[in-house]
Amino acid sequence: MVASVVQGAPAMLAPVSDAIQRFRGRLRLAAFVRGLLLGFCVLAATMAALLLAERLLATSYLASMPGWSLWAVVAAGALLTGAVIASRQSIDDAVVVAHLEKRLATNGLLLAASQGVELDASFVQRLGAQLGRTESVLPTIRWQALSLRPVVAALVLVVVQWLPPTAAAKPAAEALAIATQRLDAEVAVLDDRQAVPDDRVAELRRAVGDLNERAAAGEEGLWRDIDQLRERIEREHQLADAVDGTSAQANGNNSKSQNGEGSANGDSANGDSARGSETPSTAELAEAMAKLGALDGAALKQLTKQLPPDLSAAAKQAIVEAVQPDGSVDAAALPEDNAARQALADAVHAAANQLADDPAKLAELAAGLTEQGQQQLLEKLGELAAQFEPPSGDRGDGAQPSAPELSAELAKAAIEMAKAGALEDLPKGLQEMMAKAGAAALESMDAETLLSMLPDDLSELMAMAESVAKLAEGMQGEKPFGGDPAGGGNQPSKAMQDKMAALAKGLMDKMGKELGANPPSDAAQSGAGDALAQGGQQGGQQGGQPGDQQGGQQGGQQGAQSGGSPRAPGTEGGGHAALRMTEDTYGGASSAEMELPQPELGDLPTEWVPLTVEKATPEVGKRQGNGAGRAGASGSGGATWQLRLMPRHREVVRRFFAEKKK
Amino acid sequence: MTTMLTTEQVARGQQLLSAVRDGANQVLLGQNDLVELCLIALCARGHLLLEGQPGLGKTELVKAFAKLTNLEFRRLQFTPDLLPSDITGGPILQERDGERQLVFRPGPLFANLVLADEINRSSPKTQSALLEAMQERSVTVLGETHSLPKPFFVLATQNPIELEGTYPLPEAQLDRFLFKVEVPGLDADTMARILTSRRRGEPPTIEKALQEGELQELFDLVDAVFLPDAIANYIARLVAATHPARSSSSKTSSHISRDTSTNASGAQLGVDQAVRYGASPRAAIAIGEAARAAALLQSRPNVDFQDVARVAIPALAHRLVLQHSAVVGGTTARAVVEQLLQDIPAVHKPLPEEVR
Repeated sequence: MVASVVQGAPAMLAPVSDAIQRFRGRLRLAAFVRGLLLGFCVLAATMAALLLAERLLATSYLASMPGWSLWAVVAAGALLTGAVIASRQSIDDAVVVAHLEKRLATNGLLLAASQGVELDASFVQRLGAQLGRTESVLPTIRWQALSLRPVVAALVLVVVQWLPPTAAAKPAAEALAIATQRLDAEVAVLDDRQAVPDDRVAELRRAVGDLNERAAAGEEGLWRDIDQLRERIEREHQLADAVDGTSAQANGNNSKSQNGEGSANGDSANGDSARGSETPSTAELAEAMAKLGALDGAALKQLTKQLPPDLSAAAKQAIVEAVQPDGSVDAAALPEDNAARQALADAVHAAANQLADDPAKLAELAAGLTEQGQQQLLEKLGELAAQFEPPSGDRGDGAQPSAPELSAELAKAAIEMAKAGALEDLPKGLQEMMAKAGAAALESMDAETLLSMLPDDLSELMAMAESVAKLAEGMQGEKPFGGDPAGGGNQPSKAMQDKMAALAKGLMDKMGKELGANPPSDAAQSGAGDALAQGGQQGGQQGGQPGDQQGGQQGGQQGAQSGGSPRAPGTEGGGHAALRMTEDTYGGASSAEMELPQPELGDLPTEWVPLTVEKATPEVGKRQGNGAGRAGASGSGGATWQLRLMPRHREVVRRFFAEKKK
Repeated sequence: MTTMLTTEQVARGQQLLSAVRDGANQVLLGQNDLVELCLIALCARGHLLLEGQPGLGKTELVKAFAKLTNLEFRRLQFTPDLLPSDITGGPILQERDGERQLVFRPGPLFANLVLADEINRSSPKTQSALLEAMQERSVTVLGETHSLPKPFFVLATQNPIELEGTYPLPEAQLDRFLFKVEVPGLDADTMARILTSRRRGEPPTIEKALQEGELQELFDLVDAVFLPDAIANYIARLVAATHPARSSSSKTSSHISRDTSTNASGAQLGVDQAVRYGASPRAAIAIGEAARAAALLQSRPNVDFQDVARVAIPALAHRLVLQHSAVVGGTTARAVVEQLLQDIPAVHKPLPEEVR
């Protein structure tokens, strides 16, 4: 473009080309500044990010460099960026001329001159005058907009540079060494107290030494082992504290009369002298039991930890208060409620069992006692539990047993059957019932409740009836009870017999209902007959009518003969698999053929109805009008009627018709 | 090397134009802009469509121009029953040399300046008879083409309020008019001047402003006005931006706002929503020619951006076909062009953002 100016208008060369070059130079300068600031912004932000990353990665390559060198790098990069951007800027001459024309307002003379058009002298003069103020119309750099981000980036870099140095983190190995040194010191303190056996102290020292070696080897994951060892040492300290306290008390109580075998150096308190004897002295047992009764806070905590967690705090406190220093139990301190006492007894039993299963805990609780002494302590605990037992009720007075007792007996029967291996033969329903009866042994359960637990499934009912028959048979003195039928022993009580009779009767009633609703197959019916016959027989025998036993047995035998031998329903005897009707079977047979009751037929009409032929009178619907304006109309009005107005046009149309009305 | 008009040439052109303008201003009081636009259209050798209410002096202005420019003038009153042959002429049976033959008898269209009064009252058939005349400057009857006298101008008028019984001009017909100028109403002072200076509305007697050959000289001067490339680029981008398809995709429209007009409810409509069809290349040519005449009228040897802005609205507005929704919403083509003039930058590439 400038070249054309040179060729076309030599007179205009200087002012026009000079103005264009100045305009272009200003644009290039602006581009350089933009690149400079942009590069500075990017590099400063990058440098700040690198410095932060170095702090995170604990390296100090950049941080070790002098501060001015970082700024020098940023400045050099910014200058380079500015130079590159300025050199790559390409703005067409026509664009430059057009912008200059817009700014100078030469009425197009500059445009014409730049295109090589020969201008008249007066126009040249006019254009020259306009070009004289080129400097005032050159573009200005928008410093305010350009410098905002670089300033922020510079501030960020300064702040990052001035951040205080990171605190020197101690190496992990050093921390481990400190921790093991502390552990070693703790073990030394424990050894100085001489309250812990030497072999245990030696073991602790070996554990600490092992930790030291592992820490020196750089092994990871030692902190958990260190914590565990520290806890163990703390426990040893607590145990030593407890031993110190109780031995002092024991020495005070028995110094006059006992412990002649103890050594003179005072080690008898912690059991060193007792290790030689096989049988612990009464004083030692009393001492151990005294631990239970006169425990200090820490030992009491240990004891209560052994008790079941579901035992209330009040119960635990009752145990502690009831135990006397001599190992006996103060009955006055025990709760009056039998259930609570039983719970206490169970809790102490459980604690004793737990201690018996865990020798470490036992040794921890009864430190200083020999194994025999510890065993006797456990026995004492058992006796302690026995003292907690509530007084048992009198059952030999011939009075009518209560419903819970009946249930308990039923549960006992189930237990005996389970011992004999016969419980698994019982059907599921009876097993569940037995289990529920056992669970509810301490609760009241009457016959109605027992009957309400009967299953609804017919097959279950039949199987249950068969099992009841077996159960009743066993109650007669045969297996599985194995006792003498005449001598009592496992002989069921009369209430139990009543309950069995009620159960048999309920079974028969329910099976009768079920049979009426869902008649089973012949085989099943025969099996059910067997079971019912047996159940009825037992019911008759146990119904308090000894004289009718023979008749009942005969009836039962007849039932057994008519239905064959007692067996599972639906079976054909040995060699045939049992066909059991389960819920799935009934579910699959839900669409089985079923005979519906016949509808009642009315009387046939007695009069003849004559047949007639009549002319049909169809009803013709009214024809809908299809004039203009109706949907489907063929006239032009139809199209108008169906015309859909866009929402933005509706207001205009509404306004139009509103004006028409006016 | 291209040579621009000299100062003397520009002054000569200004002199001729001033004579015509002053004469027209004597006839039509208070309508300086209208007179200048008509003069620009004549200098650009384009046809002119005047739209305005009755009684504003449209017909009188055309007659005045005919008188001032010393051109042969014919007036055609368009009516619904006017036939094409009534304006183009037709063959008549004549006896020549003892033989009877059909001889073409030129119609009223064969004149330098034709006033098509109330052009929208004639049928489309008759309106279409003007198509060839306006574009080709010729008339074809019975397969024989007859050239119209040069220069040939059609100055048409139409009444925008009596639309019943009228036939809106087809787009092809509208496109052939260089300008469509809306004749504005008069203010009270102007009407007072008319009342005091005119009796019975009779215009003053004027003499012709241009002698024989001076009109052609004026045309030559207009042709010599220089149109810089930057201005031509601006005109092209302006016309291209009127097309809805290009307004959103073309490079020239990348700087324009899509909100080019405001409808009656105040909602902004873009070119895509407001315009159905944009202006044709004939519009760009018309703007360029008219801008030349406008530059000479302003005593400039070359076209400037402001000359384009002055003639863009009368040259573009009647060439845009708006969407029905835009029309119903109150958007006018004039508003669209005004918005485009604001949105289209004079320089197609803006300065970098780091400078202002």
